[in-house]
Amino acid sequence: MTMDIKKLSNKDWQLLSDLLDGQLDAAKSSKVLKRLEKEPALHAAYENLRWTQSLMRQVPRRKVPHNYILTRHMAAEAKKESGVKRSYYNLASVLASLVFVVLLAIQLVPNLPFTRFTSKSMQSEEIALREMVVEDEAEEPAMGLMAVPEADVEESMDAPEFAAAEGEAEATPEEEPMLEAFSMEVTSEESEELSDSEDETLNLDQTMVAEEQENAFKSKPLNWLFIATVVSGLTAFALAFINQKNRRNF
Amino acid sequence: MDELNLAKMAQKGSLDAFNQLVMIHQELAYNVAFRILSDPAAADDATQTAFISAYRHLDSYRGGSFKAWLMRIVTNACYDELRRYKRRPQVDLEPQSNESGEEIESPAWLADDTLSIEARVELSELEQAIQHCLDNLPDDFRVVAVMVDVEGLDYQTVSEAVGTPLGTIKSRLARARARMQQCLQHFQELLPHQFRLESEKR
Repeated sequence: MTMDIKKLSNKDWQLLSDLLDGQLDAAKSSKVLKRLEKEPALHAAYENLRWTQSLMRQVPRRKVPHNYILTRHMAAEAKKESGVKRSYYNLASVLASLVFVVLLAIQLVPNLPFTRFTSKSMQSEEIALREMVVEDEAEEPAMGLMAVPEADVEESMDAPEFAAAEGEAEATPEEEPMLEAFSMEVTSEESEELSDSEDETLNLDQTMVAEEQENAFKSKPLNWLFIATVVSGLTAFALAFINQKNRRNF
Repeated sequence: MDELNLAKMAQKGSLDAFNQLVMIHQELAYNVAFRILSDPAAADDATQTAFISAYRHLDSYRGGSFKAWLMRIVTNACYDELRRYKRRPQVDLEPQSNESGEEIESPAWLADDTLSIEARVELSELEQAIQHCLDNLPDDFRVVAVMVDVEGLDYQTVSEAVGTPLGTIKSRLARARARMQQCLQHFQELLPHQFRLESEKR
């Protein structure tokens, strides 16, 4: 019989337990009673449950070792402790929430009155960065023009125009106007070619530098703000949770 | 004066009203704590802690069953004690013996003059068997079994006290009872005659 009882499912035990406490409605109750008549294992389990419950109800009650009434002093201490602890958590929770809201507002709505200072400082930083970029742009082409690569110098030494220039000193007075015109022509052509290729390189460099600076500008303050917002938000949430738990669990 | 009025007066600051509530419920609170913790000293601590906590959080009582509200605090105090038990080495829960080998502490009801010596011994055996089986239940099952079967509290009160839906209470109770009956079967031979199963008496 014991083996049969062990085969009973949790659902069967639940039904028997509910039947014992009168928790089943009339229909379910009569269904289970019919099963009890047909199934000896179920019947034995029900009898065992009844026996167990009757034993547990006979357990003698213990007398309290002393009265648990509170003295005036105990009551005052209890209220004092409770007040201090609760106000500490409340204050901390409110402060963390406030910081979270302000940081969130700074990130989401930069033109709010109380975020003006921060947004202004961010704007001025942006302007400064842009000015730096513009200055770099202005300086770099000049530098490019001033610095002529050595290879270019050697090449130009071999060029006929250089020879022409070399021979300038030896030219006869009749040849001078012709040579002058030739050299002017060559110089203008060369400078056009040079400025075209340098322009392309400079434009590329400038774009890269500007992008890097813009990225640095964008990512740095945003990251810090984001981390601070997340930390303050989590702190506020944790404090609110502890506060609520303390209140609920006593 | 009924409990609700006493609770309202206590909330307004009347310590006397609160102490009247303590007097009404202290035996139930102590017995629930004792059956859950299986240790008189721990039950004493938990009960005292629970009443202080109840006084401290009186403002969170919003009507309804004061008994259920109080039992929730007692249950939480017991869970705290159990957690403390698990963190530190277990202490022998049997009464300590002095040098002459006599038990120092015995349940107060054993000194009850209305019971014969034989009846006291039988009850003691029954209590030990049941306490042993209760101790072997998981904490959540034990709390429900103690409240419903030992203390006779109704499902709704237990549900509020444990902070768990009725369905869960029923399910835990059914499983606790199944385990209890299985455990108590082993004590059949040791239990006094009147406590044995009808089928086993013959």
